[in-house]
Amino acid sequence: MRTRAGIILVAPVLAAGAALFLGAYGVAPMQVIRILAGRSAGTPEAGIILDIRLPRIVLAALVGGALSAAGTTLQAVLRNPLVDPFMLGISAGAAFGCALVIGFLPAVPLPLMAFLVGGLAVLAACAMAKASGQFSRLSLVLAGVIVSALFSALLAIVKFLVDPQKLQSIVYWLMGSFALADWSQVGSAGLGIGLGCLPLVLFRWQLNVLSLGDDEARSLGVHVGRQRALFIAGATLAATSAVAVSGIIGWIGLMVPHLVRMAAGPDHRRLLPLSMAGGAAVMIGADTVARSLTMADLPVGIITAVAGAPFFLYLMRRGGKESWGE
Amino acid sequence: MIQAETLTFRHPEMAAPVLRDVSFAVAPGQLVAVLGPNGSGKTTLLKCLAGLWVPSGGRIVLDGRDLARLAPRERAKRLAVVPQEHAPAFPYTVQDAVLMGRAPHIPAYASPSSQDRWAARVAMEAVGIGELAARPTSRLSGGERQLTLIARALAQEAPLLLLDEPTAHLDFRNQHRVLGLVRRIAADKALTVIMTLHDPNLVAGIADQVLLLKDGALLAAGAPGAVLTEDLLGSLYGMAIGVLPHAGHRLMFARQW
Repeated sequence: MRTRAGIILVAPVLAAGAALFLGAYGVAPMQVIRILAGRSAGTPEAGIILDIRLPRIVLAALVGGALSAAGTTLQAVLRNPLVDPFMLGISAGAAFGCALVIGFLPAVPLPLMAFLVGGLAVLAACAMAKASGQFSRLSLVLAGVIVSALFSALLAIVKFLVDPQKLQSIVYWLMGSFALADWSQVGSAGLGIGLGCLPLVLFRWQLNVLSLGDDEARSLGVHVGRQRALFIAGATLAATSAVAVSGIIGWIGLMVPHLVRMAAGPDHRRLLPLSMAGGAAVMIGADTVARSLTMADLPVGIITAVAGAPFFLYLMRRGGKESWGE
Repeated sequence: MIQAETLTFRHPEMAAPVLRDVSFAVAPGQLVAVLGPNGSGKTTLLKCLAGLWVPSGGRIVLDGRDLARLAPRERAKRLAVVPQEHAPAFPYTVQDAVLMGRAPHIPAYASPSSQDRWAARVAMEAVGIGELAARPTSRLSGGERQLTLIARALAQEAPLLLLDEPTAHLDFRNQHRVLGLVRRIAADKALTVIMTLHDPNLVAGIADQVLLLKDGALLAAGAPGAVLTEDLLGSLYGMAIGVLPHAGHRLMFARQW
């Protein structure tokens, strides 16, 4: 157990190290090391490594960690191993908010709008699931599908109305990509993700207690409503901050927590930090594949979606009743 | 210790109350059993006593304070609940499950300390599941799961223990084992215990005080010898019941099937 945890913790560092040496523009490995040591400042290669590859890797790590932390948290507080920011409609809501800003409201900060509309989406999904009587696992997933569909439709309206030049940038951004990463994006995403993840990491042991269900958590002295609201708000801020810089990248928040739980057990004291590390590593890996697979720099969202669909199928087959658990 | 004063409970959409004017007092160190047919309001009474459901009339006084006014954390330090249903979303180990009993003693932003781990260890040893510590709770038998929940409640170190049908899914031997254990631990640690039970024979063997609950109202309350009679049990269950004294025990049985 301890070795597995260690491997997951060093994985993002190794992935980042490897990713620095790979890219469309060939930079010799020795030169990369010289640049990192600060010996080749001012050369074009130094610009590529320090101002293009490095911020892109850091941003991918932040986004992967944020989506995984949000997924882990939502799975625990909603007692549902099948949810993540994408499934609950948070990503779709944030995407609609961002498209609105890109298309019509350039004065509004992108991450703020993403958080507001993403928050609205998660509230709507939870309210809808509750309205159907029992707050069951299946009703929550269905509500997420409905909310996602609604915000996708609203997004389609924006796309339809916006002028073609802006449409192109919305469409490209939506596919999920780190192609435009720079240090200012790292800064703005890092702030939101850091603020969102802070309560999740701090209070993570409470996730164990909350995942027992409302009555048991309450009888163990947890202020269930307040605590759950805090967790959902933190997860939403982290996830929407990620969406604001990278568009919609699905499945990471669902896949990574499951894989880490299989490797290191369900205790959130370990699970949450390990999921963040795992998410960072997987995202760096997926982005490196995306930018090295073809000359064209594929959007990484396509890579994760192609990998995610079979994974979900595997979960359904393996988990069966346990995952859907009605 | 804890008193119910003209307790009434009504579900929002139902006309008939589930509990009607229930009043009783439990003294410290007593072991109280609530007996009644299905749907008589036993579980509702326990949920109200646990502070999970708020009564629509009357009140519950715990250590001289209105239960409804206690913050969740304060309440959890004073009373621990062993639920009937336990379906965790994730397969925590027995050790981690018992450790969750420490929640009211741990600040929300912190993780359990070595002292908390020690308390959980002691609770597991007290119910005899020390060797199951690393086992996932999803792979426990019914009896082991019940013992894990009892250990979690003990780790809470609350003076009052509420158990909702602790013998519900257990075989004959485990029923007696679990109840015997509860009685021993309660005596050792001077705990007050309130539990709902289905079998009058188990009640006769373990309880200091019995509450008979019928259609949401208290039919009778008192020592087992005074309450577990042919008349009262017959009226409680609506069937002919015989009571036989045997070697210091009382044996209750159905006269007709």
